[in-house]
Amino acid sequence: MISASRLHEILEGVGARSVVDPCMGVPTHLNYLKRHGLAVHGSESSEWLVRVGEGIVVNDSVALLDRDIVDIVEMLPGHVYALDAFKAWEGAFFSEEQCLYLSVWRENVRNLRSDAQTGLAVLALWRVFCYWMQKAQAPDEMQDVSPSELAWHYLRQTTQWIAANARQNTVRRADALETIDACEADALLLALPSRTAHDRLDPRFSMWEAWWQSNPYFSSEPIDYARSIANLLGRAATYPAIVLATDEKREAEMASLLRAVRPSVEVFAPSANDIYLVAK
Amino acid sequence: METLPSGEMCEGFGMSADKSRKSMALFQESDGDPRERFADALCAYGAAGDAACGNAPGFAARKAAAAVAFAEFAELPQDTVDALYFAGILHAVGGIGAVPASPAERWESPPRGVRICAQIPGLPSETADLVRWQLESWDGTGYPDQLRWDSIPLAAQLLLLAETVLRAQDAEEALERVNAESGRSIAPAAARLYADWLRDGGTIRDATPPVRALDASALANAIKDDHPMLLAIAQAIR
Repeated sequence: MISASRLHEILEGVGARSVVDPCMGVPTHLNYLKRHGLAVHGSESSEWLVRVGEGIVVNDSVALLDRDIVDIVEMLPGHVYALDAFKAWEGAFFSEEQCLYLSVWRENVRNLRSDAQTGLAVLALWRVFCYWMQKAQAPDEMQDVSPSELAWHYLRQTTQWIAANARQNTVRRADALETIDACEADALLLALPSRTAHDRLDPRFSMWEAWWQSNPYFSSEPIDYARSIANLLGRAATYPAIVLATDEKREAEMASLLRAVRPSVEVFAPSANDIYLVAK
Repeated sequence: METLPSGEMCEGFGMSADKSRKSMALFQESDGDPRERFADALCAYGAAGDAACGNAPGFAARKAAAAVAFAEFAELPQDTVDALYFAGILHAVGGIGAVPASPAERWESPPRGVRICAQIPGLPSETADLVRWQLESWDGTGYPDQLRWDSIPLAAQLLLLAETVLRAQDAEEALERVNAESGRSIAPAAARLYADWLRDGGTIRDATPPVRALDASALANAIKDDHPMLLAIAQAIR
């Protein structure tokens, strides 16, 4: 978890007007920072997360109109669909109807005109997917909503986050070291995996990558960011400020690594799960 | 963190800083525990936030009372319940002097509320973040931070539950709304808690400000130092 508004306060405090997050996860925090005028640059190894970044970080103005949403949600006349693409998930995670929709949506999203629209759609349908996964766990506590109604709800809602900030904002599919070397910014943000849910091996993240890859058997190993954090910090010499988001469990270890490259580290710890180490 | 100038806060009440300074006497000369007068002032300040945001009179007090009722039913720690009360009271102060006119401006109200709460002396430490996250949605579509799932503290989820319940015309509609939002804005566990609370005969009663949760020494120092935030709050109890 990253509190984007708190992060914004911290970045303002160090005078940063641009930031790089090389392990961005779902980049809603970068969207927030962008909407508040910062130039933001992110990267990820999972392709679907990069697509989301193209929708809500890079994209300044492209929206999903109702006619676009129809083209995402419904079967297109004359198009031949591979309707069994996600049959492997049937019964285990989803109903037959849900698996059909996942197949149709996957193909329709691939056919969208722009990367920005694709990114918005991937984010919105991720939320539908999460709703279904949640409902499978709590069937009596959530209402039955038709797949198309749920998709319409989230597709329309996602468009509201689009904003321009008259800055160049970028996302890339790359490893963290490559991104640190390639980008320039006032601040480097490193959020440990515990903050992005990667280290919990949350199956939803890899399943959604599997959906994007059209391969229900796809699985990914979590990247051990913590082990390589010293390498990342060692390559961050050109960044005026470093913000390392961590938690109480790893605070001492992370502070030690950060102090090895920057003598002055300020700790901002509003709660046990929400700790920021700030070095200039 | 951005500091709101006292002048900006005072303008929310249509007054000058000089004039508000006189009302400091209300805290300094009161008999007994100044925290009681201060708690009343916070309630009045919260009401000013409601007025700025177009909420019905008394909404903040009802929101605080409902959130406390749910939190007590959930057996949250007393410190958290107390912090939750003040977060409910102060839920709309981010709108004072900056009435949101568009969705994008509305998203700014919680962070602005946080900046105000952070300057209020003696408040429980959890309160500001509860104000920050009171409108986060379980599915990640809320604001300001678009937190999702268990990243949202349960106490903050209960503030949204209280808001949802109180926006309904009656108990039946409230249950319908909560069920419809379960898994979307409201956590399924919070929806279940509400259903259990109703089944248990839960009612929302007026809640008394938990004065014990206010830091007496911080308040005393603020009064002594003529803290600019007090100038703005004092005006609310004129």
